[in-house]
Amino acid sequence: MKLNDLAEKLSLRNLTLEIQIKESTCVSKGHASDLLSDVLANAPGGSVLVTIQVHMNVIAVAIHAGVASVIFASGMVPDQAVIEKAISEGLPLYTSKESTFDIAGQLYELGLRGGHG
Amino acid sequence: MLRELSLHILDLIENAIRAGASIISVTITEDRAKDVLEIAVEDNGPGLSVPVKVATDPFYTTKSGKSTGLGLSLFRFQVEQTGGELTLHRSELGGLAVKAAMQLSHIDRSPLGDLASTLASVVCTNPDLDLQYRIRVDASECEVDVSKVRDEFSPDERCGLTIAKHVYKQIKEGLSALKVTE
Repeated sequence: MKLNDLAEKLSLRNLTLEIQIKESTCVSKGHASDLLSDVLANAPGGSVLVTIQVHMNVIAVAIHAGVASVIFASGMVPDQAVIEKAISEGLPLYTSKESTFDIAGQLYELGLRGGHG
Repeated sequence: MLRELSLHILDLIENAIRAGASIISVTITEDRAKDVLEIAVEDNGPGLSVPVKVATDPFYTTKSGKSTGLGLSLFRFQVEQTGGELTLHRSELGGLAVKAAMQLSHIDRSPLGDLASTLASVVCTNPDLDLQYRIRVDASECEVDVSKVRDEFSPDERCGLTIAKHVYKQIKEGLSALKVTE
C-alpha cells in the first residue's frame, strides 16, 4: 500500500510535510514496539513502526533498522529537534490520537503484516 | 534500551576493548535504603575524544561506514526513563568512567539479566583482559578479579574457556549469596 494513501485512510497527521514522499513508496509490513532493541532486532526493513516513544533515539533506531516511516500513537508528538532530524534523514513521521493497538489493527485490516506474517 | 542491563554493560565493555583498554572494572551497587541501583564501567583506555553531549548523541559514532551510534544513547535513554542519570568522566584507571544511577524499584527498569554469562563470555573471548568485577548489596559485597583467577592456572591450562567457567561460577555464587534484586 502507498504510504500517502495509508496516512490518508488512517487520518494521520503528517509531522514532516517538508519530506516529498515518492508516489512509489509502498509499505507492506508493520511493527509495533516501544522497546528500541526490539525494533533494532525485529522491525522488518521498509516497515511502518508504531510507537509511543518520541526520543531522538527512535529516529536513529528507525534509520538503522531501515524503517520506512514512524507513526506516534496516543497523540504523542516529538520535540522539534527530533522532527528536524527526521526531515534531514528523509524519514516521514506521523502522529495519531489513537492507541498503538487501534492503529496496528487498522494497518492489519489494510493488509499490512508483521515480520512473520 | 536493551532488554537486560547486563547487555548494556556488555556494550560498554566492548566499547572499552575496541578503544584499546586492557583493564576494565565493572561495579554494581544496590542500595535498598536509598532505592538506587548504580552501574559503573571504567577502563584504562584513551578516554573520550569528544564532549559528553556528542558521545551520547545517537547519530555520533567512531565506527566508519555507520551513520548511527546507539550504544551509549540507548543506555542513557534507559537510565533517564527510570528516574536516573548517566554521567561520563575520567576514571582513576586513566580512561573513561561511565556511571549510571537509576531507581532500583522503578517499574520500567530493565532487569539486571544474566550477568554471569555475559561477563564470562567477555572473559572467554578476551582471556588477557584484566576484568575487575564487584557487586555490592547494602553492606555485603562480592568481588571477582579475573587476573587473580588466571593466576590460579598454569600457563598451559590458561585458556579463555577455563577461566570463563571459573569466573561464571564465582559471579553466580556471589549473586545468590547477596540475593541481588533482578
